[in-house]
Amino acid sequence: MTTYTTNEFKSGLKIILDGDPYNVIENEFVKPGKGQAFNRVRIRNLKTNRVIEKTFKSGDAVEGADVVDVEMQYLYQDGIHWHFMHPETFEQYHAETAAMADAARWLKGEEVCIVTLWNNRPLLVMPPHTVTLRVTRTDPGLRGDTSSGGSKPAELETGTSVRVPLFIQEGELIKVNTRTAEYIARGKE
Amino acid sequence: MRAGRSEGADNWRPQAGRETLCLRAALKARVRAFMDERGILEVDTPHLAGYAVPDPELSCFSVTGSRARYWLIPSPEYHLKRLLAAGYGDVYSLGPVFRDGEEGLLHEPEFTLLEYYRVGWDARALACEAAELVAGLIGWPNRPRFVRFVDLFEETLGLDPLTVPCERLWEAIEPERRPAGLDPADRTALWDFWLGTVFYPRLGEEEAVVVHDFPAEAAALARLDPADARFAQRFEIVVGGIEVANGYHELADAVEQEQRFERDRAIRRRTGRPDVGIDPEFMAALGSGLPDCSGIAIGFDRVVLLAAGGGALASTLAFPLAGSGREAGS
Repeated sequence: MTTYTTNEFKSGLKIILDGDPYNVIENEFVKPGKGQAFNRVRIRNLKTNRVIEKTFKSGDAVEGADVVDVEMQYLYQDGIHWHFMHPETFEQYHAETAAMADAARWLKGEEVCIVTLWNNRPLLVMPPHTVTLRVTRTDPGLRGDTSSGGSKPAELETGTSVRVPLFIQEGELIKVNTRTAEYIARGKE
Repeated sequence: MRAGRSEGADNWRPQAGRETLCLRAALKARVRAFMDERGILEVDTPHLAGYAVPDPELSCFSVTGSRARYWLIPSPEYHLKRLLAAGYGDVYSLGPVFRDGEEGLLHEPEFTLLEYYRVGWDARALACEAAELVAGLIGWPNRPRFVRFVDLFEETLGLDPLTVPCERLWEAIEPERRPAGLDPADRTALWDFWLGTVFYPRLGEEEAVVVHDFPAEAAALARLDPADARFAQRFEIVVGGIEVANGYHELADAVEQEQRFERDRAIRRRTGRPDVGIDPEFMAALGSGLPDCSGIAIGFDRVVLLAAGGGALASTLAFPLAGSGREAGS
């Protein structure tokens, strides 16, 4: 087990606090000219994504969290778990719904995702930055209105909805930014 | 990897803008004029010394030479006091000091300290003069406000920090802010927590604040109040939420000084810090008689920072080592 003292704190360091893994965002050193020093850190809970502030007496040690980001291919969902495969070892991992967070709505299969593993178990899944999905349902756009910049809702093959330009028709492929859930362009096969 | 410096071809460029360096130079000139007008002599003291200091919370950089091991001074105090003991009168030094491991928004491992001494002055007189100097440099005309150490606690928490059971000082901290690794029975650590992270950041928004009459347990190198030995004649000056100076009516009793050093060394052994020897020449100087005097150390970079409008200490330096305390993942 690795432990880190406060003077090793820096952004990106993964530590365990009260049983949860955290990512150090910012570390601030506070010390009177004469007297004891403290480290005030901002840390992100990797399970809940919540950012909290925590103060340590300088020199205090915490347990390091064995957390790594690995690119993996999404395979399928079995109703309970989401299954991923390591592209080199072909080892398979299954993620709980909680780890899928916002990723689930964008995945249909074969996407390469970033899977954050904690003690070799998926903690968080990040979908690719952009995905190409087919529009399964949308109202026909009004002819002649394509230049107005108007938009309409469209349902995609994964079941999620985004707003698309009026000229997009049912059955077309579109490219979507998964971070903002916004339409980018028409997609290609 | 060094913090606060982005990778890239522009890495060689100075951090502080030319305007800030002009301000820095102008403030140095004003410090020297201030000292000159008052007959305080500027002296150059060594930066490489044969002894470190036993302060239980301080780490000195050691330097290995071909003939001996040296230390980069964390303060010019011992040398200045040897000059005082030799009868050289009021002296000051303005130069770099070094403290290992101190990196952050307001900390640089190498920084510039202005330290000066007034023979025959008490702590209050020196606090007034130094606060006037600091306020003048920053451009604040105000006279300082004086607040007793215990009153900071009384006014905010309704607790007497000297006599209240220690746990009360711990319980008064909001649960989520309680520092990990702090022993709730460690009274002086709790004082440092309250001062450094709660009280000081809110102090001195409009005027320089002199926090005075520190408890005897936090005397450092200050003498105890002859009228009330629970307190030390020590003060700090806080401006804009930042501690800029620390001053004492200097302890002149060599025997008491040695006892404090031995106590500090015992704390260092207990907390696993390397032991340090006591500078025999400093002790001999005290033994020969330090004149009654008060002295103060002023963080010059912090004064420049306040005059420049705040931010990170690194922004006042052409070539900071630590930067902002934020580091890119490596």
